[in-house]
Amino acid sequence: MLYDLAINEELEQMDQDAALKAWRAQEIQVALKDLMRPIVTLDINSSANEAIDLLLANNIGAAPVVEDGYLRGIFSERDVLNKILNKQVGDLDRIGVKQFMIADPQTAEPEDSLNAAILYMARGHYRHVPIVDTQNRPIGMVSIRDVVSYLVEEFSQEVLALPPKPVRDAMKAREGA
Amino acid sequence: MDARTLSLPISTLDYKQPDTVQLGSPVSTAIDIMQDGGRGCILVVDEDEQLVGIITERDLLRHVSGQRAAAADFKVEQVMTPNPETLRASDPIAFALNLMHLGHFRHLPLCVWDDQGEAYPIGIISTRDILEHIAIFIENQK
Repeated sequence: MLYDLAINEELEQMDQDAALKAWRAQEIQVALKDLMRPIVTLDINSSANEAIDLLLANNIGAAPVVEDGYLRGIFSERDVLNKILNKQVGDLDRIGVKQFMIADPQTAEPEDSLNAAILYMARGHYRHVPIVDTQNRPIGMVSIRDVVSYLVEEFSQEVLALPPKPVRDAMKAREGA
Repeated sequence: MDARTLSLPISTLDYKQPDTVQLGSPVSTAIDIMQDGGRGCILVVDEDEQLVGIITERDLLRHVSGQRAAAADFKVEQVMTPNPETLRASDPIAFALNLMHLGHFRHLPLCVWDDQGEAYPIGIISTRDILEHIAIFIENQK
């Protein structure tokens, strides 16, 4: 009888904890200004090769294209795959990035929430959202990688009680067992 | 957004069938398949359809664009990342998220294993798949 009482109390506490965690998670509202990375921009007069070199040198997947500081487009790895590779596009040192960029991309503001960026990315199939000031000048970038990193850190206690690296090794162990 | 969103198995997501290319193929073949399918990666398999590598947009940027060489001059094995990290469709979404975070991966192959421990790809999960899953939960809260 005492044992049952203890178990019931334990279960009740677990239910309360779960409800608390769910509530807290729903309240997560981080502003993009706290998540964004420093901006690396491409001038609109850059060549395609200069643009590719910039992505490689900075280890980034996309860069905003600017004209006098104002956002005009975004150039990404996806543009290289879809518009340049295997295509007869001519001399990439002479062709401007302008020809391959996506013009007038979806942007967000520094005070927008992470939720807004997730919806932009999911619905628009973007991996990068430039953060702009009120004059449409890029001041930061939030990438899908930044969102993943944030979620992993935010939920590390609740769900991601995982071995830091050995997911794959653990799987092998299961195979062998 | 609820933490439990991430404890569901990967199989609950609308993950995609993998595009594959055989070892020994020219990189231009892999690029053609990626362009046709609108995919950001392709899996490299051997003659037995076992997974041996993965090619992503980043690999192409690094090896093909960087060297300014024609894609036809490279074989897929010269460009691919060999022995990529893999998961099962029954693993929780949180596993995928954690692995993507740690390895900076955007795509993870989903595999089944035979008795000899050889991996056969059955799907691909991307960061976008997970984000779309989370987006549904965000929208349902509104």
